[in-house]
Amino acid sequence: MTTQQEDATTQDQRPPFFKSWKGIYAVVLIVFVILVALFYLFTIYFA
Amino acid sequence: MSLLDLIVLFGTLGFIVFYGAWKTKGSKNIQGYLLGDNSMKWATIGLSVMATQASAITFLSTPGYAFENGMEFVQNYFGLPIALIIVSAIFIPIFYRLKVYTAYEYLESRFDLKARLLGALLFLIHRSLAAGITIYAPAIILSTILGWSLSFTILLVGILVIIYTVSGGTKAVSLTQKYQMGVIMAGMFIAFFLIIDYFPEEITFMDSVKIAGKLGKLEAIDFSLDFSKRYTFWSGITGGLFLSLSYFGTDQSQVARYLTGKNVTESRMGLMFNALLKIPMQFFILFLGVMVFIFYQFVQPPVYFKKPAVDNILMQEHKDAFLSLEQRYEENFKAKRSRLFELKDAMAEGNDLEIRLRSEKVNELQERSKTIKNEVKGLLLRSDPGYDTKDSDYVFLTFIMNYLPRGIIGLLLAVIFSAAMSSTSSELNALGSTTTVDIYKRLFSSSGTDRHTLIISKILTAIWGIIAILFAFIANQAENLIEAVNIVGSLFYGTILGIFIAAFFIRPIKATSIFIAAIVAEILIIILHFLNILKVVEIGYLWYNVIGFTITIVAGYILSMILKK
Repeated sequence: MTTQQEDATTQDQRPPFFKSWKGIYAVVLIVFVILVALFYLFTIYFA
Repeated sequence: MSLLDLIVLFGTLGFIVFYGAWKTKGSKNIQGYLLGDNSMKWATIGLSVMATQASAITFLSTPGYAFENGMEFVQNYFGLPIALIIVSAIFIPIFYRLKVYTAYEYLESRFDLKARLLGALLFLIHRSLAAGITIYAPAIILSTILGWSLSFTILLVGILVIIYTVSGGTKAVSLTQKYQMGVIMAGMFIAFFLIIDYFPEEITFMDSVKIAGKLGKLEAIDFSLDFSKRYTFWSGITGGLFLSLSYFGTDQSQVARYLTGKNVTESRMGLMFNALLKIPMQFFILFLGVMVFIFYQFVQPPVYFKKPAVDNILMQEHKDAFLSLEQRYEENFKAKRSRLFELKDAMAEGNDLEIRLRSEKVNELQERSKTIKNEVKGLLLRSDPGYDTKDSDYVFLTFIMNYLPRGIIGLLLAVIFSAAMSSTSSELNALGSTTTVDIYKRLFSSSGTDRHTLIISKILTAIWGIIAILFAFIANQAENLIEAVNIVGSLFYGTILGIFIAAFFIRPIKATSIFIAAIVAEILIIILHFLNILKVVEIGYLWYNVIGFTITIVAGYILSMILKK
């Protein structure tokens, strides 16, 4: 693969808002944990 | 149904189908037909992935499930965000690097041809069965409620989907799904707000949620380690993870959706869109079912929701017994309704003792309702011992038909038909592309021209459409329709995922070992399922994914070690 092609591929793989995809994945996991916590509180509160 | 509803229903469906077919009619080559010229942005991919997973059953069966059992089904989706992260981080870059049309092409580059064919074959078997259920499930419910012929309803969905899927390929599927999701979400929100609006004046939204809680309908999370329970946090996070990983990573109906992306970033963002929104969406649909349940605490529901069965029993010897049960049910409903108002007052006063006592009374009356309903089901079984008495899938549609205003009924029916068409189109598209790329082109026509492959692909997609319609005609009604689709998936997904995980991560496992291990795993899972049906063992079906996966990996590894020696 040439350097130009590598650059294009790297550009294609860059996530929005974050420097790496790890940041996006962390946001998704944090939102998931918050949702589970909210569902748990929801279950307890209305039981 | 009114003329206005028919105009809204057929106008919405007709516009989406013919606009989708017209807008994408230009696919001149196989790359455009199967991968949509790799032109899709993340929003289209995200909605397309969501629409593929959300079938009509989701919008009929899920509120019905919540009506009967509460919110616990949301836990089924807990593995989904983690699975999508894994697919995004590992699967997508590999599929893009190898420039594959289908996920199974990768298996040949890692193992050999027989692994690729096995993966493709397992997919074709379970997805074609699922496609039949995807068409049949809403058709049986819609035809019962609307009084349409079942055959007409199956053909309506099947033929409309075949028209645009064959004509425009992947691009048509993605484009129509974008509009279908728009209709679906608009319809569901309107239904939700109308239900709230229909509560008695004295009952606020907050009162309704508190009452639902007291009646045990809001238990969204269960942390108990009970393997016989279908939905717990643990079964969701493990079994649900395996199910989602297999579905999104190895099922061509989903892989094809994100392979249409302009680049890796667009595909990944489409999946992250789902990772963030899928659980809240399912929660909302279940919550809508709970709100229908609350609505029917204050407005007299039918004792049994399948009206044709009731009409039938009224013409038989059990008529008097049924009318007596119906009267008891109404009396019980009135008593419960009064107690609910008392419970609401106690909650407003904050008197804990009164709340507890009145909750117990309401729950006692609720149990009595269930007992009377079971007696009605008993009568139905006495008339026809093979009759499927479960009526929860009919609850939401009965509510739509009886209480929503003209025009909105047409819109909600368009929601259900759109959902049926969106998931069926992805399935047919994937069945056609897998048969074309992994079987026809690979085994019989490797040197065929692009145009020849395109025509074959269209013919195969149409054939799969006809097969799905035939499956829909012969499908038997399952206990719960959404569970039926998930059970069929769970029988195969563990094994398919095992093959892919071995391919991605476990280098010592070789082609012959994984091939034998996968066949052994599949046979054992099918035996386990029959033992489960016969009640010899009792295990939630989500665990099939974990067990199938584990057998494939462990047996594959051991066999590789043995064969190496």
